[in-house]
Amino acid sequence: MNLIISRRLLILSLLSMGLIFAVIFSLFRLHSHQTEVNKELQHIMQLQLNLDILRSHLWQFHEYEDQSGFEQAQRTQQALAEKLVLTHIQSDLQPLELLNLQRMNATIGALLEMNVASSRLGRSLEQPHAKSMLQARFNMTIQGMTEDLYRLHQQAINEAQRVTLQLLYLNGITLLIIAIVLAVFAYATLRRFKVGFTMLHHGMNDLAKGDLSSRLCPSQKDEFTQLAEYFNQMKGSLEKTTIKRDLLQYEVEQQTSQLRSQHMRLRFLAEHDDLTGLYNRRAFENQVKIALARDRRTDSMAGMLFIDLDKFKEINDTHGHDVGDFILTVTAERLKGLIRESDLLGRLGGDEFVVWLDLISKKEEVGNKAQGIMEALTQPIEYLGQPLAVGCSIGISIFPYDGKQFTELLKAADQAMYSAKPQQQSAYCFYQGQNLSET
Amino acid sequence: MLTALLWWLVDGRAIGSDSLREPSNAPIIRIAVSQTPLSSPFFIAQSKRLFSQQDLAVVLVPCFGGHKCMEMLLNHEVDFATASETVFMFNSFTQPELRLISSFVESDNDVKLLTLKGGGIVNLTSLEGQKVGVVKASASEFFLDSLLILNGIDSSSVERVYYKPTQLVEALLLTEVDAIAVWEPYGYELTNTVPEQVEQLPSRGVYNLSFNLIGLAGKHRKPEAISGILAALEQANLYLITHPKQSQTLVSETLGISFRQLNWSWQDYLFRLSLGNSLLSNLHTQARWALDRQLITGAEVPNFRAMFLDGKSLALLDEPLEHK
Repeated sequence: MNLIISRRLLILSLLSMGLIFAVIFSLFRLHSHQTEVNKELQHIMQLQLNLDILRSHLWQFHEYEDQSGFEQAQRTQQALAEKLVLTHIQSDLQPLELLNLQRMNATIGALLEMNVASSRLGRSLEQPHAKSMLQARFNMTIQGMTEDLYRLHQQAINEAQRVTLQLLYLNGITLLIIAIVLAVFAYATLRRFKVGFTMLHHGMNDLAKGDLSSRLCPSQKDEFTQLAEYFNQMKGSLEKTTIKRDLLQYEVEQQTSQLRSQHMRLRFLAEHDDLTGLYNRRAFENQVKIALARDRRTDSMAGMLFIDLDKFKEINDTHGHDVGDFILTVTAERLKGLIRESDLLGRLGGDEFVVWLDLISKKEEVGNKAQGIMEALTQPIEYLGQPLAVGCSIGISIFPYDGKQFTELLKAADQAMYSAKPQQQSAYCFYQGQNLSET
Repeated sequence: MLTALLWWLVDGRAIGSDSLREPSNAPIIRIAVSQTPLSSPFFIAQSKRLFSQQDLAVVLVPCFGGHKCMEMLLNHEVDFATASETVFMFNSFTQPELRLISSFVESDNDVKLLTLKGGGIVNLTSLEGQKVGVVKASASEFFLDSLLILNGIDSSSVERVYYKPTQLVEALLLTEVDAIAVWEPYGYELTNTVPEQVEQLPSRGVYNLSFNLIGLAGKHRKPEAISGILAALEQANLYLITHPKQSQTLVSETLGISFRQLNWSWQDYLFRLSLGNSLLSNLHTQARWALDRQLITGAEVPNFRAMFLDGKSLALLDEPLEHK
């Protein structure tokens, strides 16, 4: 019975109304019945009164034997006959006593008629015992009527009790049945509500916990089914929206990552030389400035090597730019292999390289490094099976002796490099103020 | 109806019910039952096994006429008998041990004064000087006398001729008499023989016949047996009232008479248990009449009140009576 809840509630209210009507109807029926019974009993009492009057008039008639007595008795008998005709007893059976009462009353009438007829014919009841026989017949009949009236009374009471009991049973059973149906129906509806609410409760609980994938599966078909469908639709929409947001976030992260990469790349490109990957002049300057600040704080020594390749221009002019670029690349690689991690390496442009040797303890370390660089750079570079040889001139300035600022130190190293340049072969030269020291 | 059904289920006294108890070693009670429709409650009770329901083993002994039934009772051939109050009245003069237990049917039209049309009798006054056939010392004679007295007719002006009940119809048909005072089923017999020729003279109210269950004092010490019989009769009476057609069919089959014949007088019968002053008064009137008519000699009116079984047995019926 898949009655949806609103229909069930409607039926419940209809049943309740039915119960109310049943109660009203049963009370009304009981009241009507009681009224009817009262009327019946009052009527029977009236009959008893009439019978007593008839008995009294018959006695008078018997005593005085006059016309007045006869008429009185006859009137009473007829009045009783009329009342008996109007008597109505609620009963399944034809009230036997009532028929008998009518019969006996008719007997009284017949006896009176007999008496008066014989009188008219001039035959009085002079025979011995005639009077007593008539009186006996009257008495017998009145007695019979009294008994029947008593029986009728008793029957009316019994019948009233029976009908009252029957009404009580009937009403009780009817009300009980309606009440039971009502209770069962209400309980079934409650169960339905509970099932529906539990389902929704679980669904909401799951949703609150972040479960967007599960769906409600209603076991019954009612308004909760509709709610469950809406809930599932809502959950589906929510799930789709959340997926889109995640995708968007992922996309944003990807974009951000790309931008960051691009930024890094651009920064790298901005700070490094395209060809060799070494710091360009600006970046090198920035890095050295940072190092200088640190060295100042720690009172450390540092050295700057200004390296210029010799014969590079000839090779470039002779063999072409590609070879020149190759030479520069190999030179950068060799330099990278010679410096420490704390050291800085840059290309100022053309064939000019700069090296910042940080955290040195004495000037000789710089010389040794310059010597090593020089030896490394002067090693022939093989290009397409052809050895190419370049030399180098290295100018060295020492912080803090040859300058405190980058520009000063670079200028000093540049000057020192120019001091080393005139040499026939590769050489390095310390900045000596105006007096340069050559090696 | 619901209540009736509940009683039916609880009481187990449903008429016609097959789930009946068989009397367990109960002594056999023999009742002489006059073979007349007046004994219908007994036929119904036996047929519907209402006696068995009361744990009684009742045997109905058929007899023809109240006198015969009374004879069987006085001869101790049976335990109870059915007879009219007139039979009881006559016998009570000589048999003080007789006990009237209860009347179970009444009729104010069972005994009729019948004549043939064209016979010269047009009303009661024209009875004077006519011959009327009656059964001596019976309800028939009492009825005739009452009719004459109450109509102011001198009894001696009517010549009464005594016959046996079975001879009355023939006597009228043979015009041996001008009228007959006769009870059923002879009234029907006459009407059936010469339909539309029979005249019934007005006599309602003159005589009230009752048929009664009669026993002997001390015969049944246990009032339960009598109560059982009365309870069964009460139920049978209820059945007679509620199922008139079925009852008439059953009774007509039992008596071997036609349904039509039974139906002839059925409306006149008032089936009910009664032991009231009305019956007592009737007995007294009849006893005085019997003495006056010298049908009984050298005796006084018996103390009928003492011969009525005390009211306890009928009082026991009060409860079942309420089941109606």
